[in-house]
Formats: sequence, structure tokens, C-alpha cells
Amino acid sequence: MSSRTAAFLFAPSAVIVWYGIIWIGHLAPTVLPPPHLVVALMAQEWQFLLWNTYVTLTTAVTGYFFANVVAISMAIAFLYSDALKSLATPWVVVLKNLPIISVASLLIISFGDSPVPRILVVILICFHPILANLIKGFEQVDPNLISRFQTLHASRFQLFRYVLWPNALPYYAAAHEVAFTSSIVAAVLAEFFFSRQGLGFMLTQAMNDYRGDRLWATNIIIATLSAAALGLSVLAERVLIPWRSKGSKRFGKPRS
Amino acid sequence: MRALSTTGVEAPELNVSSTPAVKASSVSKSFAGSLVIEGINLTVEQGEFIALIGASGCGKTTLLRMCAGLEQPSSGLIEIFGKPPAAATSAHEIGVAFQRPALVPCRTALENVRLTLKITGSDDAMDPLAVLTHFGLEEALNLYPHELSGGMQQRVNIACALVHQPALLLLDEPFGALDEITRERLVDWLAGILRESSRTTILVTHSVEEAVTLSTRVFVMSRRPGRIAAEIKVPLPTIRDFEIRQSEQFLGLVRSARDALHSALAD
Ligand SMILES: Nc1ncnc2c1ncn2[C@@H]1O[C@H](COP(=O)(O)OP(=O)(O)OP(=O)(O)O)[C@@H](O)[C@H]1O
Ligand SMILES: [Mg+2]
Repeated sequence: MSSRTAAFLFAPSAVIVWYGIIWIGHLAPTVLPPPHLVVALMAQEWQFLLWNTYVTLTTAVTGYFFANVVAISMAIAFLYSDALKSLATPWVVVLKNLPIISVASLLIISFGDSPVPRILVVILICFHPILANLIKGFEQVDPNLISRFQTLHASRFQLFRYVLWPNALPYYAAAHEVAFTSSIVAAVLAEFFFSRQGLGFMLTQAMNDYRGDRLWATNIIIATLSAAALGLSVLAERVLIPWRSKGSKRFGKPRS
Repeated sequence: MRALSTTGVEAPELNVSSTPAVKASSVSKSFAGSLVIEGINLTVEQGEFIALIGASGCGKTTLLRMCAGLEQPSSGLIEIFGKPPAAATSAHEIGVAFQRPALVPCRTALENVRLTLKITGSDDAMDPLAVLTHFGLEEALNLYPHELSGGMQQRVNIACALVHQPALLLLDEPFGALDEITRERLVDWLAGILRESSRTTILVTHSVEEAVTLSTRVFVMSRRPGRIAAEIKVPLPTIRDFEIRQSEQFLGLVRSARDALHSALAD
């Protein structure tokens, strides 16, 4: 079976499993609302849901954009300055390994109830996979290729433009599969703790109100957004690096 | 163009009065304290074709890399056309084909060759399309490196090394992954274009026949640390057609080169 068929089968089989669990466990709608109730709620509250989806998406995309700017600038700076790389590495390691919740609480204290801390949370979560992959992409260039360009007396810029950057592109594209999906998760997470709007905020509200149907509706939206983010990154990969997706994947694709 | 020898025995005439293309004076190289190349003295006149043979790991690639300015000798001096190698590369006088093809993965065969020209900005260049067609790659012009076979990659690699018409060509086992027929065709073609120009070539190879077919002198290197163990002059006419390659003289040269290689390995 092709992976495409399997993907199409996913939604109907999820519905069947969902009904099956309710039927086997004799679960009340308050414990696990059946799909048709969730769909009914989505139809009823679609404006509210759409607005909150918009809020979350704005946070995720803005944060993601800046995560890319930060990661690309850092990777290029590290490429040309070992000193900078050594100086920055402890910072990167600490930032990456701090529990995001604790960093987020610090941010909310400093920035208050504004979009800034939420966007910062998205940046913090997303920049690292992009940075790590770009660094790897720059490091994994065939040394003979660099040597050959040196014998042609290529300038630093030419070496970057024609050798280093194209070589890092597949790694960069692979990073999006991880990082773009986590931007949605990060935005929801930030809203969950520090917001009065957005899908994350909806989750907390639905939990407080014991509204299983709203909780499920929100979760379905989040899952759809993450899947769409993944789909977009795969598409972007195809556009960014046609020389890999074209024909056979003899060398596979780099791990993220 | 040099005059063809009529008797079929004289060595091609060389303009020895000019600056040598490559001059290595007691060059040694060690990596992390272990000696790889020891006291190599080598003078290659302009227009010469030198073949370098020797056991695996004896420092042939290292010697070529030093000539291309990619590696510094630990002691001794290398001069290319009377200048330091770095000056020769900035004048785009050097073309290198590495042992393993070094192609830009996101560019097709043709784009790779064109990129070389773009970097060097040579006005006296060959037509990339013609070179690749000559190499039997007309079907593969628009394929990406990962879509090419190993032998096809090597041919694109050689095309990249010589398309900008460098005065010094450094070829590191460029025919390794080729089948017998393609190899012979390429050797003939290479011999042809090199004859027509005043280009100097250093060819590293594992094939003694290839060395004798192409070169004016064959150098045999000893085991690591690499030294020049023997030099065999090849006084054959510049055009070495099938008949010459069957001649007693040719076979005798191959035999003596092989003997020199064996005794270099026995030491
Ligand atoms: N950058 C390096 N660092 C450390 N050792 C090196 C380096 N480059 C080469 N060597 C060592 O130098 C020796 C000679 O290497 P080189 O590649 O010049 O051999 P070669 O004659 O080209 O061999 P082959 O015929 O297998 O290509 C080897 O023992 C190798 O391990
Ligand atoms: Mg070698």
C-alpha cells in the first residue's frame, strides 16, 4: 500500500476507532464525546474557533520566521568565526536544555501579557533544530569540492554561494519538518500558560469548564495544523532542492 | 604544435630554457609528526607529461595537493612556473581532478562544468558542451551528479579540471572507475588535446601501461615515506597509436617501469 493511500485511510479509521472505544467502554459523552457531537460544536462555534486558530497561527508563523532569521545568522556567523562559535555554544546549550516552561515563566514576568513572550517561546523551541542542521550541512561539504574551488581561486562569497549554501539546503529543508511542526506546538504551549486568546487558551478554558467537545474540537484543529505544517515543509523541501526529490533517492536524505 | 617525429623514436622536443612548470626542491611533508613524503626533488618542464606511480599511501595525492597549494610542505620548496603555488592558483593556471569526483551536487553535469568557467572567468576556455560530448556524456548533460554512474562522474570531474585551459593539469587517478573501452577512448582524447597545447600535466595512475602511453617521463615513488625511487624516460613519438603500443620498445618500457615499481616496493 502506498503511503498516500494510508494517509487517506487515516481520518476514516480514526473515526471508526473513536466510535469503537466509546462503544466498547460504554463511555458517556462527558468522558469521551463522540465525533458527531464534536463536529456539531465545530459547526456551531466556527467563528470563535477560526479566530483563535488565526491568533495561534500568527504567533507560530511570526516566531518561526524569526527563528529562521536567528538560526541562519548564527550558523553563518559560526561558519566564519570559530571564536564566536565557542563563545556562543554554552549559551545555545543552556537555552536548549532549560525546561521551556521555566524560561517561558521568566519571559512572561518580563514582557507581560503581550505577544512578545509567546513569540519568544516559539523562537526558543524552533531555532535549535534549524541551527543544528545548518551547521551540519556546512560541515558535511565534500572537502575535495572545497579544495577544487580553492584551486580555482574562488572567493569566500563564491564558495558560500556555490558550495556551502547548496550543500546545507537539504539539511535546512529537513529541519523544517521538525521545526515548523514544533512552531505550532510551541505557540499552543505558550498560550496555554500565558494568554487570553488562541487555541492554547481555548484548551485551558475547555478544561476548566469540563467541555470535552470543545477540548476535542481544539485538539483536532491543532492536529490538523501540525499535519499541514508537516505537509508544507515536505512541499518546501521539494521546491528548495529539486535535485534530490527528482528521480531516485540514491543517497537518501540527511537526518535531522 | 610540436613536430611529429618521423623515425618514431625521438623524445618530443621541449623548451627547456623557460621556467619549469613545477620545481620541487627537497620537499618533505609530515602529518602530525609522521613523515609521508621525504626529500622529493622534481623538475617538470613546460609542456611535459609526467606520470607518477607508486604504492597506495605513498603520498602521491599529498604531492599533488602541495603542487596545487592546498597543502604546505613541512620543509623544502615548491614553485609553479617560478611562483609559489598560491600565485599560480590565483592566476587560474592550475586545474585539478581529484581522485574522487568533486562535483556540486545541486548542479547538473553541464552546469558543473560551466560553473568552473564562471569562477575562473577564463576568456580562453573550451566549450563545456563540446568537452562533455567528447567525453561521451551527451546523454548525461542534464543529469545531477547523484544520477551519474561513477565513471560518468569521473569524466565530468576531468572536464571541470581542464575546461578553463589551465597551464598545469594535475590528474589524480582520473580513470579509476572507467571501463576498458571508455578509458582507452579518454586516454586517446586526452593525449590528443594535450599534444595540441603547451599544457603541462602530472598524472597519478596505478596503470603502468597508461603511464607509458601518455607520459614523457614516468616517476616511480617508494613506499611511505614517499621518495622518487626511479625515473623512466619514454622516448616514444608523441602520437602513440595502436601499432606503437604493440612495439617492442613500448613493451620494454612498460616492463622496466613495472620492474622499477616492484623494486621500489621491495625496499
Ligand atoms: N590530512 C591528512 N592528515 C593525516 N594524514 C594524512 C593526511 N593526508 C594524507 N595522510 C596520510 O599520508 C599518506 C599518504 O596519503 P596520500 O593520499 O598522499 O597517498 P596516495 O599515494 O595518494 O595513496 P592512494 O594511491 O591510495 O591514493 C597516507 O598514509 C595518509 O594516511
Ligand atoms: Mg591518492
